Amino acid sequence: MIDEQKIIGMLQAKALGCLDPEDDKQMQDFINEGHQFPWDELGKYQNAASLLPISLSIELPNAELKDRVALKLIKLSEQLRANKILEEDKFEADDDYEDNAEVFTNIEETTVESPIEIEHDETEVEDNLVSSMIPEENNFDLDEITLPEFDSGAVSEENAGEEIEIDTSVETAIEESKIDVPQIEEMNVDEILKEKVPVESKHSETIGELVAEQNQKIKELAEQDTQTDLSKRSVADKMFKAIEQDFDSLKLHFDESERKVTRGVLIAYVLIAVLLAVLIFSFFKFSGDIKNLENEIKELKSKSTSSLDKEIPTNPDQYLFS
Amino acid sequence: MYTELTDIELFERVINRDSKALESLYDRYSSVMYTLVKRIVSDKEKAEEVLADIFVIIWKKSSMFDISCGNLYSWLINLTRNKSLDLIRRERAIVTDEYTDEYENKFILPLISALIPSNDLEKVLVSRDKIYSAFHNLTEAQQYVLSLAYYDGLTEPEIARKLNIPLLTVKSKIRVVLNTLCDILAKEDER
Repeated sequence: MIDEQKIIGMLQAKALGCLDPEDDKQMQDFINEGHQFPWDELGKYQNAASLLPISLSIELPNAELKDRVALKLIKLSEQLRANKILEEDKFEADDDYEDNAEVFTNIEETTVESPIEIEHDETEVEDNLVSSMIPEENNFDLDEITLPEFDSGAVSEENAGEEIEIDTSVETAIEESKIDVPQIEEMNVDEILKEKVPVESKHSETIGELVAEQNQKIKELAEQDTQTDLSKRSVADKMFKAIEQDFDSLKLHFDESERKVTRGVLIAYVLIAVLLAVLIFSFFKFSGDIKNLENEIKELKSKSTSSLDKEIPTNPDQYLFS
Repeated sequence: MYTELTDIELFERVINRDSKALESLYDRYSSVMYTLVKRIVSDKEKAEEVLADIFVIIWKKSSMFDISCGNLYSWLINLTRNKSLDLIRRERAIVTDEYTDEYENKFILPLISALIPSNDLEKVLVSRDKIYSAFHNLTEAQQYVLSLAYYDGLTEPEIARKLNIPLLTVKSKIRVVLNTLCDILAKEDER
């Protein structure tokens, strides 16, 4: 039996958080035994103890601390959301694996479709991760806050643990997909079918049907692949053709312009040649004319002097009688 | 808008995931809480880190606070003290338990009496001078014991070992100190 007065004597230490561990155990037992505990007295002391920090000289924290708190809260909410999404996706992926395993347990080529489904799951996970990281969806409003430098080491221990969980789950999903990617050849399936046809049993028939279904699916997938390849090739061909057409048109334009230039140059040469010929002709002609004229002038000069010598009479009386 | 709300009204909004209310709570309480953390951990950077962690706890565990008790101030101060002392004890390897969600609920979140007198920061700041004088009216020995218990987080046996005095003496001193403080505060209120 614990004395109530003793318990009351422990209340001050309890309120200050310095109660002797043995006394604390006794107090806990007292409460658990259903005795009337002086909660009001404890409340009074707790209130008084909590006033102690007010007697200290108040210090202000760094203004950037508010941003850090906001950043921590954003990271926390994003991690929680990402974890939730990853857990959901992982759960769905596990269900798919289980379904596939149940259907294809007896077939060697069971991994035909699973890689495709796994890849699909991975993309979903990535999409969800991306969508979960959209800042607009965050609960914490940072309109008035300038974010400080991001420090991944500032995450609390609890959060760090959560991060590790995310990483491992993503890694396992990717690894499984890588492992399960098969190299399937249609011939192998046919060979197996041929091998199993002679065995006339119910199991072989069901296996044969399942293999045939698988074979059909493989063919469909192969056709889809070839179609996608063809479509890819046709697009590439079109692009190359378009480029070639562009080159051809450029060549034509270039040839036409080259021809025009050569024509122009030839015409220019011809014109220059004609002009030179005309000039030369005219030079010789005019020079010949000039010579002829000069000769004529000379002839005329010589004629005029000889006639004067002959026609002019010398009559000395004429001047005496006039 | 938020500045006009009482502590309890503001915290009700925090519980309802109102981030602006949390921001307002930070503006209101960060200085007092930071002062307490700094007094306990001494280092400025560590104090800031602890304060940031405390506000993350507040955001995560706001629903753990009993609104009906009407004393958010004491809950936040005790939460701040517990978190700061936990860091000190871990650094000194006094506490080696893994910091889990369960640990946080048990040792970091304060256990406040449901019958605690209602109080808020505004009232406390108004009566700050009274509290200051009440604390400084204690003898130096009383102040020292109080400091060892409250800020250094020592238990009664640890104080006894540190001061090299009997455990019973320490227990009686603790009782007297807090009773004296309560009496002085009561007298200050009567004035």
